[in-house]
Amino acid sequence: MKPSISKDKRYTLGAVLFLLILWEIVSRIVGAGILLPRPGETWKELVQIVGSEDFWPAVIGTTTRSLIGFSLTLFTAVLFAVTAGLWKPLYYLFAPLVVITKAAPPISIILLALIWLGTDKAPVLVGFLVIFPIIYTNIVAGVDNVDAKLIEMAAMYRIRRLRRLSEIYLPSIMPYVLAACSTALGLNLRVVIMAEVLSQPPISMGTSLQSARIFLNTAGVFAWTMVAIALAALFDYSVSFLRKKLEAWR
Amino acid sequence: MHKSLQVTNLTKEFNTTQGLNTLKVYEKFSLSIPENKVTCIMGPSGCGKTTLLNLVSGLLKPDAGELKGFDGKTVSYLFQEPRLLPWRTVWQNIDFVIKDIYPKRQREEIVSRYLKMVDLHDFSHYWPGRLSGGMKQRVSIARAFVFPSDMLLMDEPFKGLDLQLKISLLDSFTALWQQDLRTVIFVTHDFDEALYLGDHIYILSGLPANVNKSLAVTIPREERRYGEGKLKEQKEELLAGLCCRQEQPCVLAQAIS
Repeated sequence: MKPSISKDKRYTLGAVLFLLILWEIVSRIVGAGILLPRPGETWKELVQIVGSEDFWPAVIGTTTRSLIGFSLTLFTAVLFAVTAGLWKPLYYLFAPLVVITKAAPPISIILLALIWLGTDKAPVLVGFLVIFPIIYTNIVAGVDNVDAKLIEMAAMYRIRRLRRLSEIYLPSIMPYVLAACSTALGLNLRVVIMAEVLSQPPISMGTSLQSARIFLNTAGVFAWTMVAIALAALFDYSVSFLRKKLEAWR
Repeated sequence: MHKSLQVTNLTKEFNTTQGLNTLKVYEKFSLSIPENKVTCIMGPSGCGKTTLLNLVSGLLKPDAGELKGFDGKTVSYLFQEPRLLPWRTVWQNIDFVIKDIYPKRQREEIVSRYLKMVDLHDFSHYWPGRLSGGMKQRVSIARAFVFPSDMLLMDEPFKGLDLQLKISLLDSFTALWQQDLRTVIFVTHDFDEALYLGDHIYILSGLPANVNKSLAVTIPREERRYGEGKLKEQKEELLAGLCCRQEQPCVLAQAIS
C-alpha cells in the first residue's frame, strides 16, 4: 500500500504544479492583473493579508459563525431525523418543508435571512437552512436502514429503550451522520461566506472579499478565496480524522 | 416427574396476500415442554416452527388457546445469525445483555468466565467483523447463556456450518447448558443435531400443524457421538417411521417465516 500512496501524492503534486504553470501562462496572455492576477501577485497579496491586523479576527469570525451554525444544524437534524425516522407523522410533517428548503435558491434564503436577522446572525441562519435538509435526509435514511434484527435481539434481551437508542440506533446512523457532515461542513462554510458578502458583518471573510472586489483588488479576491479553500480543507481533514476514529470497527 | 410448560389448544392465523386469505398455522394445537430439558422441534419448512418460538417468547400473541407456565418467563434467543453489534467488541457484546442486571465487578467475572468456556477469551477485545462465522456464533451462544433467562429458544443456530465447526459449537452449547440446565426449545431441520442435543423430539407436520411424532432420546449425553453409533440407529428408525406415514407437505413457507 505505501508506495501507491506516495505515487498518488506525487501525481497530485504534479497536477497542482501543472495548474500553477497554466495559470501563469494564461495570466500573461490576458496581461491584466485586474482580470486575472498572476500567481506571484496573488501570493504577495496573500502574505500581506495574512500579516494584516484584521486577518485572524476575520478568519475566526467566519469560522465561528460557520461552526455555530453547523453544530446547531447537526444537533437539530439528528434530533428531528431520529424522531421522524421512528415516528412517521413527524416525517410527513417535515417532508414538504425539506423539499421547499432544498429547492429554494440559496440567494432567496440569504435575502430572507437578511430581512429577518441582523448582519451577524443572518449567515448562521442561511447556513442552517441550506445544510439542514442535507443532514436531515441522510439521517432519516440511516434510521430506515437500522438492522431490524438487532432491534429484535435487543427487545428479546429486554434492553431498555434509552440504551437501544444509544447503543444500536446512534451507532447505526453514525456513518450517515459523518457522510452528511463531510459534505455539509464545507458547503456551510461556502454559504456562510456568500451570506457575509451580502450582509457585511463588520469583520469577516465575506466582508474582506467584498471590499477587495470594490477596490478592484482581484489578487485580494484570489487570496481570500485561497484562505477559504484552506479552511475548507482543514474542516474536511478533521471530519475524515473523526471518521477513522469512530469507525475503527469496520 | 419433571414440571412442564403447556401449550394448549393454540390457534394462530396469518393474513396472506393483501389480507384476502388467512393461513391457519395452528389450530387447537397442544404440546408440552418439559422444564430444564432440551426439547427439539422438527418438521418441514413453513410448518410454523419459528412461529411457535415467537409465540412462546411473547413476540406474537396467539389468537386463541393457552400458554401455561410461560408467563413472565425471561428468554434468551439464539438466532440463525449471530446478531452481534458490529461496533461493540466481543466482550461488550456479551456485557450488553447484563449491563442493567448486575454490578460492574460481577459482570466482569461472569463475562470472563463464559468467554473462557467458549474459548474466546483471547479475542475479547476483537470487533465481530474480525471473527469467523463460527466464532461469532460462539459469542452469541455465550451471550444467550450469560443472560439470566428461564428459557433458551434456538432457531436453527447451527445451520449452514461445516460439520467439524458444528460439533464444536454443539459441544460448547452442551458444556454451558449443563451448568444450569435451563429449559431449551430447539428448532432444527437436522436429525443429527436434534438427537445429539435433545431430551425430547417433536416432529410437526401439516398446516395447521400437528405433532406427527414425539419421542424421547434416552441415550445418556456422555455416550452420544454425533451422527454415529446409537444415534445413527435411532435416526434410521425415525426416518423409516416417517416415510411410512403420508406426510403432508407444507405450503406457503414464505408466508410464515
